[in-house]
Amino acid sequence: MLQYLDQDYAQSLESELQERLHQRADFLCKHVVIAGEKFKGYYLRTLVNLPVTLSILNQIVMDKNNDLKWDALHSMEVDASGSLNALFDYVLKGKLILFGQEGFFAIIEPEGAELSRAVMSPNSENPLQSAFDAFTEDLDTNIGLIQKKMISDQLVIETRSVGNRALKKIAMVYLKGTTLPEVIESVKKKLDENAHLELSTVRDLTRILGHPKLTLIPTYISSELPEETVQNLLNGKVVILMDQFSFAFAFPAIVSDLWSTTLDVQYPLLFQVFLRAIRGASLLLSVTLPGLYVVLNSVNPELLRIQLAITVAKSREGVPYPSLIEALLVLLLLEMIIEATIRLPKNIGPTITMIGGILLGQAIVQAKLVSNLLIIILVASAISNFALTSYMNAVGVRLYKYVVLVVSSIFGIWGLEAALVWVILYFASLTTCAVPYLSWSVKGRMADE
Amino acid sequence: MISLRMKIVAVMIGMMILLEGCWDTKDINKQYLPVVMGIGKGSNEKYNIILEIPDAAGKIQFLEKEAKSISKAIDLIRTDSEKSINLVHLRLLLFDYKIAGEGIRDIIDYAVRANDLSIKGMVAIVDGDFDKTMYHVISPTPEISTYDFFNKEAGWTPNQSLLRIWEAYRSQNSYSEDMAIPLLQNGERTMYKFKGTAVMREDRMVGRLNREETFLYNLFKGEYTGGTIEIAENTSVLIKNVKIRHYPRWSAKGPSLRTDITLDVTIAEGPSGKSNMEIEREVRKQLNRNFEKTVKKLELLRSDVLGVGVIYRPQLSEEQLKNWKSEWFPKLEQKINVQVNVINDIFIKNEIQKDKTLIR
Repeated sequence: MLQYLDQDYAQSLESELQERLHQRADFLCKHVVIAGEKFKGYYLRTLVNLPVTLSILNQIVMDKNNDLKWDALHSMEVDASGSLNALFDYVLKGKLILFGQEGFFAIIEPEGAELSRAVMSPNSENPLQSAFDAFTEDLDTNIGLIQKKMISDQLVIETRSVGNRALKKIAMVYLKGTTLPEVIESVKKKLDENAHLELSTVRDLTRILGHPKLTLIPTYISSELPEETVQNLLNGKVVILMDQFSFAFAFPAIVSDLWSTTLDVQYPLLFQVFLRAIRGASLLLSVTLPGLYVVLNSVNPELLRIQLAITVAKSREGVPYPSLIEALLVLLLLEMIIEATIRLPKNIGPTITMIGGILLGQAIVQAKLVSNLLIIILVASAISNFALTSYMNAVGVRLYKYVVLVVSSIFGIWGLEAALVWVILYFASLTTCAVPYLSWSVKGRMADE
Repeated sequence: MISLRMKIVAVMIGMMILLEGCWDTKDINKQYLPVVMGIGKGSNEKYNIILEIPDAAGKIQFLEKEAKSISKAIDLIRTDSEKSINLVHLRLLLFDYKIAGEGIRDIIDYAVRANDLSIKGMVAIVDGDFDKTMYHVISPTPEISTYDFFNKEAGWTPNQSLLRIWEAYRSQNSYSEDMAIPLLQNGERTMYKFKGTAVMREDRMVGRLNREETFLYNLFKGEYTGGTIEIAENTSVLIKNVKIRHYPRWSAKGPSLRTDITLDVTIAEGPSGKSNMEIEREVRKQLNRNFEKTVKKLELLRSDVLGVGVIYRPQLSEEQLKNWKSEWFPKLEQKINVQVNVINDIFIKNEIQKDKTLIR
């Protein structure tokens, strides 16, 4: 914004700005010379690359003749009003503010300091047959990645800022005509209503969108891959990107997201069906296996065949604790191993797997603390747990496993069935972004979706 | 602040844990799981109960008590044993011969009434020395051979009859059917030896069928998988498929039943020079003759183990149904026609030119 202000007003602006920002160590006021004229430049040193910016400015101005030289600056300007608050915001966002003589004043979009990383391959996902670029922290880069993957005039991208104390830029992306209008409407409405809430974590985002606080399964699908996000868009989901967050969140999650990933469509259909069937089976197994162990061991031994019953009884011979306590102890150990390996540096991870898995597992059986059948069952349960599509989904299933375990230790096989019915009832009660959780898809092709 | 809803949920969970009353579950290694229960005559009391408990090492543990009732005997066994006794895996009820002669109604009633006893278990009668058969152990004992003896996926053949507890209960309360219980004895090298079939009238043993007759009994009931018929030296056929058709009629004299049994057989062994036609004819003749004898025998024993009453059931009035065993079954005229069809013919061109017969 190139304008002339009242000289006194400009001076008061300058001093006010200095007053408000003097606590920022990187806030600088420098005298700069552009095209032979002196200016005072206000900016944050960590966000603005001043030498480069100045040389670009000088180049632009030099090319033009004298009359037009200030007009030439337009190409680097930002539209804004000259109020103090707005100036303040611009400084924080990394803009360069120039004050010249006679009340001359401009806000320049400078060359930024290098703070973002380049687009790299994903860190938390291992796609097999797909594009390998992943989102970065920069919102604009992320939007660009999506746009590059999907050239369509129906792609709608809306950016807005959320928050009060700290502003956070978010972008809401959807495909017009594919995403259900109710879904778009409900997301938009919540974003408008709760724009004043602070947004710094993913949980804040779900709170802004009005999702329930306690959910067993995540109400969104997070993905690091633009490819996957594009598939989510095509599936009729609304994608929300947060600035400085290298994941895209697709809303709403539905039940089939427990066993299907959007990357499955890259494989032949038969493979896709097979993979999804396996994930479905592992969902069931990971929830029921520990409960089933307790049921078969203490409440309903008649469900085993006699051959198995004898072997099971033999394997538990000399185990001091009841099967529920036994299962809980080993489960706790297992969860700790899983939790420990997640945060460890990559070069120590295998060590703990070996110590925990092989040495401890073997020793604990030989010491007759638990039966070896239990180890088999729990490891099978843990493996099937990680066959699920995302880590977030897996945690919910991991949690519910305990409910199944306790209920079935009390009520036997009936309790196991009841616990499974409960979880279905719970899923049926969930509705996020105007879509019931138990929908088959969010494309809205069928009447009940 | 805790909402009312949360309080209600907390109270409900608390009540669920405290009031469900399921504290008495016992882990599987704290229970004995007997597979066979022997019911014999006690020396002092009415019953002598022997439980056979297999373990993974292949040994069998025996627990024995006498009492006036079965459940009391089991209770006494439980008192003395270091583990609890759980009958959920009981698969075989063995009766002493003498008990079977006196009637087994009360025992079958108990087995059906007892909640922990599976009614899918089998029933058999011990022929000969009860204790010797019960305590017979072959070494090394396959852990559950007692159960596998009757298992259709394991040791069962059409030479053995088979009766489950629920079938026994059904038969003893039925107007139109009697039961046939397998007779067992301890084997020399095997766990048991199949001795034939006990023919029961109501709940009492009245006669027996030998192994061949048992085979015919099974054939009539349609249980033929893998059955072999031996006709003469070196000649035997294998049954592949059986079609059974009943033609019940009711004349002034009483019921008369004709049964057509069509056997599809393959020739397992046959001397050269004997044509398929001859073998077919021999099998038919032999089976017809044997069936006739067996039917006569059962009629004399007045026991409807073949379940002819069930075939007539749709035609009987309630009064006739009640009197079926006493009045009508003795008047029954039964005729069984067997047709045999050899299905493994091989047709060889060269042979035809020689002597125009079919060669196997």
